Formats: sequence, structure tokens, C-alpha cells
Amino acid sequence: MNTILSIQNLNKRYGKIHAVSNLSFEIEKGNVYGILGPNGSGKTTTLSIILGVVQSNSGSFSWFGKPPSSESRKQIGAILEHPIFYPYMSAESNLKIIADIKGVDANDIERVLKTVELYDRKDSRFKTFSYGMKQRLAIAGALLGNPEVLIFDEPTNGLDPKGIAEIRELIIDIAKQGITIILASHLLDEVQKTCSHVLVLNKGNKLFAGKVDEVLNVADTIEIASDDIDKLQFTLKNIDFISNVKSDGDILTANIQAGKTTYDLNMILIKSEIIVTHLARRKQSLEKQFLELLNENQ
Amino acid sequence: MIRLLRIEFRKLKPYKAFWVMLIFYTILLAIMVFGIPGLIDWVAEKSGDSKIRIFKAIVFNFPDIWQNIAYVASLRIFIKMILGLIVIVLITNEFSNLTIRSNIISGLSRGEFLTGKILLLATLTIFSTIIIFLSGLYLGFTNSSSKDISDVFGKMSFLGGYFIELFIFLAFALFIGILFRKTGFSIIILFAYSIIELILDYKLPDSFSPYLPLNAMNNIIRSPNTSLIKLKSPGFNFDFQEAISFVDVGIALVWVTIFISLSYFLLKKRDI
Repeated sequence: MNTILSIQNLNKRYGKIHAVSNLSFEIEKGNVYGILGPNGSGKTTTLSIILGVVQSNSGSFSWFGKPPSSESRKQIGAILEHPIFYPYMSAESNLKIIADIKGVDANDIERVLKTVELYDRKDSRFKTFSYGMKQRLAIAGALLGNPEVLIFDEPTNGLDPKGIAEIRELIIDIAKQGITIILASHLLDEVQKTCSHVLVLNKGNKLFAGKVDEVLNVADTIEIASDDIDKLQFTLKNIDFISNVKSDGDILTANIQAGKTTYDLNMILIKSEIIVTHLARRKQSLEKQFLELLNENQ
Repeated sequence: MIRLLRIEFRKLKPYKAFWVMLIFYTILLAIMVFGIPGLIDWVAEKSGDSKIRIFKAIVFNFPDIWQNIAYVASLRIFIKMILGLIVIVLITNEFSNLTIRSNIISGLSRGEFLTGKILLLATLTIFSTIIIFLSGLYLGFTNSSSKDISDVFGKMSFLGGYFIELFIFLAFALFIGILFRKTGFSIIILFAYSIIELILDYKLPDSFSPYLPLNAMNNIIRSPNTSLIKLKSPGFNFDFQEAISFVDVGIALVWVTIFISLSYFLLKKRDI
């Protein structure tokens, strides 16, 4: 186990609003974490606290097993909300400031600018950039000095579809290099496409945390019925790709793991000498699951 | 230290508005210092008082020249206000562009951020002091009747006093910028307070007077026109300042400690 970030019972109130409520979680090295939640669920506030710009009311967190400090922040590359740079300065000069702060060799600037495809615009002033370019420059800033952890807060917000695709591709490429990534997003699709682990937040509360496959790729639902409902239920409970068997009157509902078909299920049931009278598979959209997840916990 | 100063310099180098303001300040300061002889001529002509011409001859005499030009350059609500404005613009820009936030996220501590700004204030103050020093040397060597080394370097402690006074004033401007964070509002407060303190000074009992912050910094270099008064009324025995007083400097240093501590406290406590 290699814990990068550990958060314990973090709380932040803005007047009556409880922006972060007793939040605890851990980030392990090498994984890509998605922090998923609707707008106002406390994602940015949580990131602002762990990046040292907002003070929590109570609770604690540690980076790399140590109390947070400016030294730990030097090993983190982060984008919080909008790209922030000195507007009158060129892309390169802006990155030089970050390099100076982090104590990184200025030679690394060329590499990160090439990674985000802004090298030929290195002398252009920040304020002349399009939003997509600003966002890419922010990613370049985060990549400076090969940090151990990258934090991206809504990295595709405000971008056009082409920009969104480019940024996602970039994040997936970075993730392949084994860098730990924390990605906050209100887009389920984004988290599902890029992350291995997910933390679902709503109104400052943690709803779920776990692997994306387990939390979000919950299997489709099946409806199944037979003359001998008890035997059917007993048999279903012993099938490894079937879970969450529930009785719903004359019909049973259960979840079937992704990749398994009703054909596979039926084969097993026939071998167990069960004749089904009804078998249907209900595709559940991830978006719907996410909303259900939020609703269940209101 | 050097790293922090380098970061600050990187921020300033491509910032045209800063250089324009600084050049404007420098030119104004030079015009003022070098304009003193002309001004005295003008006053002499208007008043027809021949003693003022004699005054002109001695105002640039070593060693009094150091006190005289340091006094003029550090007058309240005058030329040093431009440097105060520069400081307020620089610090409030960091808040309005949110760049202080990105500095902190990148790994600068709040203490380092403040230290960088204080080093910048010190640099600006040194720059201004050097201009006063060079102007003093030039005007002194071209006008002073005595060019003895002891006279040239005599009263040069007033340059030190000028440095301290200007630095404290800029620390005051920095504190206002950190407290209010908005450029326009902070500038208004800087001017408004300069006037409010004059009113306070008038309303409060005299014993409070030296302890008000702007008074405290201005008292480091007090009215120097020793020579003129002596000339006009030799018998008049008024207690003019002949040297920098440690008590004055002490009171002013208490204020600069307060400004810097409060600035640090605000940066530390607030969300950025």
C-alpha cells in the first residue's frame, strides 16, 4: 500500500452551507481517481483545502504521509477551476515562475509545452490564448517537474467537443505513465472514460468510493420468473455473475455482471433443471444509475 | 531570498504598466530635486528677500543637503505616493488575477509570498534612495562651498532615515492592499487615510501625535530648514532636527512590525 493522500473527517462551512461534510478518503499511488458529483457538491472546495488555499473548519489531511506543507505542494501538479496565469506574460515566462517556485529546471518547460502542443506559441502572451489553449497551458504548468500527483478540477469545462476530446486523451496518456491522478468532474461519462476509481460526492457528503467498475458499471438488471420461485432464487444466489437477488412478487430481480448474457444464465438454469417462464434484461444507463445513486442518498 | 526576488522580478519584467509608473516616478523625483534651485530663485524674485538667495547658496551645502533633499522627497501625500500606488497595484493584481492562488498551489508558502513582496519593497526603496544619493552628490558637488570629505559624508544618516521612512510607507501600502484586495478601493483608502490622519492629529491630544502611523514615519526626517531660520532670525532658538532620533525610528519600526505581522496574519487566516 502506498498512500499518497489521506483525508480524515474534513469539514468546511460557508455560513449555513456545509460545503464539505465529514469527508474521509484515501488516494493510493498509481490510480486515477474521479471525484464525481453535481455542481455544488463540494468537489472544488475539497480540492482547494488539500491544495492549501482554503482553510477547513475541522479535520485533517496528509500528503505522502506527512502534514501538508508548501514542500508537499511542490510535488503536486494542479489545476483548480479556471486556468490562472499572469495575463500580460508569455506562456513560457508564466511557466518559468512555476518552475522557480517548484525548484524545477527551466529546461523542463520545452517538454511540457510540447506535450500540450503549445510550444510554437511559447512567446505569445497568455491573454491572447483561446480558452482551450489556456486550459492546455494550465495542464503544462501542472506537468512541470514530473509531479507524483496531478489534480484536475473540471478540466474540460467550457471547452468545445474537440477540446474536450484532446484534454481527455492527454489525461489518459498521462495516466498510462503511472502518475496518480485526481480528476473532479460533474460528468459521469468523463470519469467513466478516464478513471479507475471513483468517489461520489453530494452536498459535501461521500456517497460511494471504490473502483469505477464496481460503483458505476453495476451490472444490468434482469427480471426472471419460474414456477418454482424458491428454487430459482436459491440457484441464482449461487451463480457468481449474478448479484443482488430480490423478490418482487412473482418475479425476481437481480444484477448481471457486464459481459455475461441471458444465454449464459439460461444455460446454467437448464442444467439445474429450472424452466424459466420469464427472462428479461434491462439496460441501465450510467447516467440514470448516477442519478439514482444521488437520489437514494438525498 | 534570491529565489523569491527572482520570482518577483519575473512577474515585473514584462509588466509595462509597472515600468511606465516607475519611470514616471523617477522623472518626477529628479525634476523635483533638481528643480529646487529654480524654485528658490522664483521665491526670491517674488519676495525680493535677498536672504533667500543666500539660503539657496547654503541649501545645497554639504552636509545639510542630505537632510534637505531627503525631507522634500519624503514629504507626505507627495511624490512617494506614486511608489505607494505602484505597490498597491502590484499586490492587488495578485488577488484580482488570482495569481496568488496559483503561486500557493505551485508550492509557495504564504510566508514566502509575503517575503517576496517585502523584498520587492526593499528593492524599490533602495532604488529611490540611490536616486536621492546620486542627486545629492551631483547637486552638492556643483553647489556646495565645502567639499570636504567630512562634510560630504556628514548627515548622510538622513539617507538611512529616508530609506527607513520610505520602506515603512510602502509596507503600509502593502498592508492596505492585502487587507482590501481591490485595486481602486485600496488606492482610495491610501489617500483617504493620509487625510484622515491629519484630521485625527488635529482632534487628538498632542501627546498622541507622534504615535500615529504616518506621523511616526514622517517624524524620522523632520523639517530641516535650519539654515533659513537661522539666517532670518539668528536669535531665534528653535529646536530643529540636527540628527536622526532613535526614538523616532523606534516608534516607526513598531509600526512596520505591526503592518507586516498583520499582513502575514491576513494571508495566513484567509481563504485565497
